[in-house]
Amino acid sequence: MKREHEKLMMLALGDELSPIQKGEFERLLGTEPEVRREWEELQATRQLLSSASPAAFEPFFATRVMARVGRQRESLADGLVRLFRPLVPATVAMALLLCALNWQNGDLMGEGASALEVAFGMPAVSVEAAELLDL
Amino acid sequence: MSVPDQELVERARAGDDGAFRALVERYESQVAGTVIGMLGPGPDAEEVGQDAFVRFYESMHRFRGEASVGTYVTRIAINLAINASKRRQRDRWRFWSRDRDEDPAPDPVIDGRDTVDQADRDQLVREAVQQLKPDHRAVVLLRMIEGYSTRETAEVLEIPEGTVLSRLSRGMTNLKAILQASVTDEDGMQ
Repeated sequence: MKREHEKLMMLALGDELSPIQKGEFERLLGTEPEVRREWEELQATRQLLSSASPAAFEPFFATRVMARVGRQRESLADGLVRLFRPLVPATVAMALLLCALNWQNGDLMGEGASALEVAFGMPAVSVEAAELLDL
Repeated sequence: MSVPDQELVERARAGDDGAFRALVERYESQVAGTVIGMLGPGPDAEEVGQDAFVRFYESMHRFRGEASVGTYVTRIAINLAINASKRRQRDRWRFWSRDRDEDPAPDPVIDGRDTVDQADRDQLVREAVQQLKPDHRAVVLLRMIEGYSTRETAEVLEIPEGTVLSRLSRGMTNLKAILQASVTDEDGMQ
């Protein structure tokens, strides 16, 4: 069958022919017995397809989808925890090392610095120092 | 009046699970028709159906509403179903040589009643559709069973309209031959 005939037939199957194409197709059916036979068989096939019962999932499909969405969210949070957990001991060790170094150099912080200020290397802020900074 | 899709999408994006559930319930039958038509009823279709909605949930922040939610979800579902179908074909081919010495699976039983009842007809049609190539099956399914227009089918499958028409033609011709062969077998059994 010609490609053009094939195209017309497929458009006709879905009722998508323009008025001009419709006229052309009807002429074709009148003059080409092979096309007419093919058309009748295709129409029977289409009818069989459209008579099939609509397919459906088992009941409570939406509930199952929502449960999966919930699990997906939880697994994302778990994934982030798993990703960063190995870094925790290294981070704690680094912080302790910095504290120890700061403690060792504690005399640079001055006499009035508290233990916390020394450990974290924070300079003691006094009114005099603030005035100096303003200058 | 029902809440518009776009509003439900906005609410779901903001973390409202109820809104997302409403979208699932709204498009469940559309997705079921697509994936069960592509893969046949069973656990594969159920899983692909769920995957389609989970992917939609994950990609909702990218959804701009250029296509309708139905078209968007169906596009995800049909692509997943085509992939699953191709994977299944590959697996079947891989295990064919191992299994070919075993007894062949029995043909579907069609009894000798004068008229084929609805359940038998559904089974006959479903099995015939399953025998089409996945690309042809997708077009026949969307165009002839789900009622999408040629333009919509092209949009869902992201192929030109001309390709939709040519795949439809090949698919329908093959389907006709498969159904005729099934009916001939059935007559022969009576």
